Amino acid sequence: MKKTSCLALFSFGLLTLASCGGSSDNKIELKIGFWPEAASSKDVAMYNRWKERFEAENPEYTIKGMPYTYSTETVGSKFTTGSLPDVWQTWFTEPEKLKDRKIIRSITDELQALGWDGKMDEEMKSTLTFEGEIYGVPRDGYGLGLLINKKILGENGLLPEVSSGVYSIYNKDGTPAYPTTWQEVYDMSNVIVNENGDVAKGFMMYSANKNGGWVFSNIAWNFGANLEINEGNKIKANLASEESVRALEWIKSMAVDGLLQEKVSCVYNDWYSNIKEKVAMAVVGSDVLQQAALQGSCDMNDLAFVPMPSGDGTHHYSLYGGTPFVFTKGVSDKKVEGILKFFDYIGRSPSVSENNLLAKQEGYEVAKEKGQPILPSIMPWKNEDHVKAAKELESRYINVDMTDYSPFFDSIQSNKHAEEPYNAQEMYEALDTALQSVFSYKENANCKSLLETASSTLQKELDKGVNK
Amino acid sequence: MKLKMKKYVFPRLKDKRGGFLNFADYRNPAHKVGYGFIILLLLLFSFIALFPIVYLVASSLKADGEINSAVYSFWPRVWDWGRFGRIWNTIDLPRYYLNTFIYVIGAVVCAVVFNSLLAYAVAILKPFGYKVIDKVIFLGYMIPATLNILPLIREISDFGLLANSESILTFLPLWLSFGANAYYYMLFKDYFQRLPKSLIEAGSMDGAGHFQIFRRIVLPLSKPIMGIVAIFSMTAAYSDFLLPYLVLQNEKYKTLMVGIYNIGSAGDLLKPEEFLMLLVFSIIPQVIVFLIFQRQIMGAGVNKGSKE
Amino acid sequence: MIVPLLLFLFFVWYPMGRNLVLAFQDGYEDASFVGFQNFVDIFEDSSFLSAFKNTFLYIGWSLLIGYLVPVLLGFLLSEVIHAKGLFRVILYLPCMISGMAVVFLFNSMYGDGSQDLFNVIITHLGFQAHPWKGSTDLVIPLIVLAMTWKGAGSTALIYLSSFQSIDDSMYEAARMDGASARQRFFRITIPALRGTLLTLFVLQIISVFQVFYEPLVIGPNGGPLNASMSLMLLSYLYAFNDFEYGKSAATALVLALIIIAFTALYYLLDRFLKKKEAQ
Repeated sequence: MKKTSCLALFSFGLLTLASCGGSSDNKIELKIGFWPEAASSKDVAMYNRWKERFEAENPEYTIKGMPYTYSTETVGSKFTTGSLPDVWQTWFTEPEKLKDRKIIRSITDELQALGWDGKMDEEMKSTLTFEGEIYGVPRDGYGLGLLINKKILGENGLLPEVSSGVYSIYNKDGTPAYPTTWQEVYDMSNVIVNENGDVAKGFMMYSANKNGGWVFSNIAWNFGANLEINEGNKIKANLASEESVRALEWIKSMAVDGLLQEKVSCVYNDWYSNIKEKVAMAVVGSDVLQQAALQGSCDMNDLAFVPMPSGDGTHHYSLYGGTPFVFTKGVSDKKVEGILKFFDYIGRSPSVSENNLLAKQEGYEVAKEKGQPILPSIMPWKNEDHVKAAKELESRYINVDMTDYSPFFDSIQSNKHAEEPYNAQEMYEALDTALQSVFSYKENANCKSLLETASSTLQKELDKGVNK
Repeated sequence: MKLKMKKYVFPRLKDKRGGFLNFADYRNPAHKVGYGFIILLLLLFSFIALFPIVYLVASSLKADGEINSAVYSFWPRVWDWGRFGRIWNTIDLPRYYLNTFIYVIGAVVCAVVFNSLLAYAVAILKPFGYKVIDKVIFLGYMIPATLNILPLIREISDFGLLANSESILTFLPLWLSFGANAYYYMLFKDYFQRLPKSLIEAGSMDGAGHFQIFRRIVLPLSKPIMGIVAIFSMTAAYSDFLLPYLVLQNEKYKTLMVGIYNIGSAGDLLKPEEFLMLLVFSIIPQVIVFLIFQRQIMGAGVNKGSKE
Repeated sequence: MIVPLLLFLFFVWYPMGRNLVLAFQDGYEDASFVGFQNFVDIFEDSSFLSAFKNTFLYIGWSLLIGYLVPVLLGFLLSEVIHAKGLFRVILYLPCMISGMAVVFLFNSMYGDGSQDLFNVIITHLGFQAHPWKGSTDLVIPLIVLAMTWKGAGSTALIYLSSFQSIDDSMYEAARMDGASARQRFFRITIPALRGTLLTLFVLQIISVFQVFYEPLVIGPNGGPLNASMSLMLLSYLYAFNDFEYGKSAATALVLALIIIAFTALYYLLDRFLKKKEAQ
């Protein structure tokens, strides 16, 4: 008993100690969810500088860092308990669902007042626009491309050797030596795995957490597929077309012949740890390439990044979108205005103001200090003055040899293709199931019927929503 | 108590008196082989028990990038001992440990105090309707709390208990949640029911109030069960994840488990081998506590099953 | 007494009751009653049907692996006379590790890649690499294995104390009668253990119903192809992934009913056995 009462006293002591403080004035507090976690101290210091600058010039606001890593498990309960920050970063895949659940608010008026809506990249805007309302601000853009481990391909005789251990992605005559069609991806993988018996696999295909469907939709486009058909008054799911069956058959042949990374439930982040030695090629977004070095301990010079291969010989579409900042439903207009203003202090606005460019520069400096590889980014804003200033600044900080990355970045603007507009998440989920079935049943998998099932699942979702 | 150093005597089978097989059985060579099997199986199971832990520690000490290598080696090619210090600093582990400690202390206090009071009331005072209360609590024992997490978190929020994110009061709903644990309640109730009735009757003859009886008679007799509940609630609070994850809003009060999940799900804050090191850090306090209190903890474990 | 009761009301009963109501409603706030619509919906959902089926697979595997291993461990510990304390400590050690760490640890060992631990071991032994957690047939046994690894030590101690509480004179008497070891085992040891065996049988089943983090992380999300989906996880995913509160509550109710049915079965069985003993 003595011990317990001591403990009780002790904890009440702690309580009273801690419950002091907490002044309140009439400032509007902006709760910023994309604030860096305490573990990344250099970033926190930078954000604190931005906060000071902003608060000095906008005395009606105060900034409060409230790091929130988006996850589907927490967003609902955090929202209903009023504990979401005012603005936070989510995945490119989420806004539609979040809007449907009334968790995020439209910021169309605020964007229009600033003229930002017209400056936003069209494809990125379309993924954030529902029924004419814009629900977020893109942080940066990404396009999917094929990341290649030159070393693995080169050591298997698939890329010309320039000097000992250094390989080029171009042939002597300047034509690409890297794969430009999925058939070539198959052939090269076959050489690596079956002819040479290398420990590395050829390609990695995701299949879980909706990542598989996400990449598959892109592959299917390049086989000529059209996954959703707008029939005017009705949206029709079209996942089982001849073209997409061909795309899945290609994946099946890769799986059956043992050319894929073996995981049945493979998720996107897995490429970080595989691209160094375990797999030669993977589909990756352009915004996370630096993770190859940060997480995967790769030398960026051993890799190359090229456009998505084609299935039908003509299309090289690259699924294109952006990581958005979204605003919690119920946040006042005044707060949204303040947060949009704050974007100018963190280098995320379309302006060419001193603050914006300075913040961008500081961001690069911190990245450089941390030893991060810096690659070109896909700008979420398309107004020329901004693009020009930002590109100029960026070019000073790019620290990766761009020779092997330019095939992608030079062609992204002509290859870009926004994701399917309706129920993309449910589509990816249905496609994941088809992919997992292919990986589980291999030669016994019936691609046509798997895709028909996926298509009817998607159709049900469409009929529940847009077609109603 | 006198501490005596016991001289280790190598045990011999022919001295084994009790148990399923004793010295008489071991005269039979077939049974000696059987004993060999017992030892062999125990060694095998010990290996299985230790292997994943060794694997974890070994993998977490691999140098940067080795974990991504296509040629696998169980032991690190280079032992990167420096990683302990680096993770300690970059993740701010002392803060996580402190928060976890605060949570665990409060949880243990609440678990012991509130559940024992309720159990005392039901087992000994037997107020009106105590049987119904007992049954309803048992229902709560069968149905996993996680199933009702959504209404619970909303309720916590409606009562304004999430608003204290700036102070240590943010732990309050978590602590109190340990005060309503059907399992701990049942352990207490079971124990109280087995206390000799005469003692309590003697107390009430002396004119002591209910609370006094509880304090003077029941509590001193209940040290063992309190220790058991304290140990259980300590381990449970240490490992608790979902409710703290939803309740703790402020970065500076997050517990170790919440931190692990956040860092693990963010995906790019730590490299895989660094994340494994974080898991090692999460195990260390538990192993230390275990080695110190092993007798009490394993004693508590035995009690777990004999409660029915 | 009032305070703890309020705590139960707040933390257990109200949420439970609220969930019960929710199962018949179409949302959280301003919801209207929809009768059994949520139940109709979940029984049409293939994820739910998989989860329902898996519940029984989980029970089967956990009885096969999780139930018998601790009995064996308890027996071994009660019979060993060398380094008994050390064996006990080692076998109990996994119980101290938090569930979160265990899940992530086994997740890393169960990888399907040729460089993940299990495949490295079997290719070393001359077998083909094999999908582990990615295999629809293996994922549940593997999850049960991880749970058993964590839980077996503490359950084994319970059996250990039961084995030790068997009166030596009973064995002695049987020896006098010339009973073989096998006969002693089935006539003395097993009957003496009956109560513990039955109790732990039910506890095992109740704990298996709670399987949640394991399929969430190892599956992931109950995968592959819903092969590891549990009712508990599905209820959680309905609520927090899909915001389908009604379906989540309906699933929870189905799970609760199954658990109650098993518990009732236990009591009936227990009473029946006691009656038989009394005769």
